[in-house]
Amino acid sequence: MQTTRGGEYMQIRLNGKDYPLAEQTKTLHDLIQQLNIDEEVVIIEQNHQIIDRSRYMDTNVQSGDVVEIVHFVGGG
Amino acid sequence: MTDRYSRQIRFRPIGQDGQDQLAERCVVIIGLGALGTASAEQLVRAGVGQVTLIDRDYVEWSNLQRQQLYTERDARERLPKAVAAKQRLCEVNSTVTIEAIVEDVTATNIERLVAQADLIMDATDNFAIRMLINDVAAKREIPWIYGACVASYGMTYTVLPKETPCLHCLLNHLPQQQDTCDTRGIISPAVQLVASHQVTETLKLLTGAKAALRRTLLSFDLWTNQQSQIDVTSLKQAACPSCGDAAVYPYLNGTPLQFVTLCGRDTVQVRGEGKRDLVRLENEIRARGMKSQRNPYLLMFETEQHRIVAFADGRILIHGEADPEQAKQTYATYFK
Repeated sequence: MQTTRGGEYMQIRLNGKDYPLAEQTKTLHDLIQQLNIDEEVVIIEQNHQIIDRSRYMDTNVQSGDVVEIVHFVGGG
Repeated sequence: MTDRYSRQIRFRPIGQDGQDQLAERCVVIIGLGALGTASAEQLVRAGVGQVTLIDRDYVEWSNLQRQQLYTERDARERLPKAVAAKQRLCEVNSTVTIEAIVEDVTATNIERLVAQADLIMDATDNFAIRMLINDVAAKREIPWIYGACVASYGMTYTVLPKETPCLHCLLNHLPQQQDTCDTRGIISPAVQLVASHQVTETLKLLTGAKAALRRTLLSFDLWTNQQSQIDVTSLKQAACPSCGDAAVYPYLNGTPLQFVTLCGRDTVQVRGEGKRDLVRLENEIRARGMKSQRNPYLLMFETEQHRIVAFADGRILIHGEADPEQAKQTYATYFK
């Protein structure tokens, strides 16, 4: 379900697909929590710029953002 | 012989020149699970001149769903994976050199194991060994290719010494491993896609086609139809302890633990003190009135609580035990 913030549909482009943002998803930290990904193994690019891991808490996610997330796994 | 590589030679970016170069190169594959068997088969069929296969484990029934070089017979005989893989690959292509090494890769032996390598193929299953590969690759200036998968998700990254960020640049520290193939499962197509990316990058590197390298950190999820690529060039750290200007190779210079719980498995691995005489061990076990099963590489026996596998290289696996302290007691009972 798409949600609205101030009457506007909140949606980002995540890994090449449209992704509706939940009301409570304000920052990159919130986003990876919602995706259930472990923060210490993730690389995030927001609008073609890699965001430092220490800044996820205070980096806002805006409607229309293009976000790429790659997380490391160990199996093989 | 002349026909064998004809379709690959007809592929223009490789051609006869590329094929000749492949015949001169050595790839060391660390880990012969799903990823390792997939890339080993492709590299041997492609005519890479020397392929070294390293794995510490033996074939089990749960491997057969995706580890493409193994058969039911290998699982029944509990053949070491490196040995079983070599047997199959020699049937596939007898014109290349294939070496099988049944050893646990550690800080102590890894420099010797990769001494010949033009490229190291990562097909392991945990972060600790990859950090070790990353250190040795940086130190010896050998390119290596990270590959990993779990469930329907896969990812890969090509590390070029002195050029790209290394794994340590990207992760900063050794992460806890949360998801494994044992806990979340794995489907074979995810394996095949990761291996295909890894092998393609290998073919480019070995034939000198560096301009064609992908140059991104890549991930995909085949089930949810997602794919992502990130250019991580900006993450290269000049002060990286593994690849920076004053590198100290912290994982290569660390001390290996003696008792290690294998990730996602109810098993503790004990690193022994050198090679073990399996015949003598078998006699000792039988003297206790217990049954055992032995092949040239390992001996297996069962206690009331554990299944114990002792390898000729000195290692021991204690299955049915996740606590290293308990494992120490079990070890002391049977091996001291």
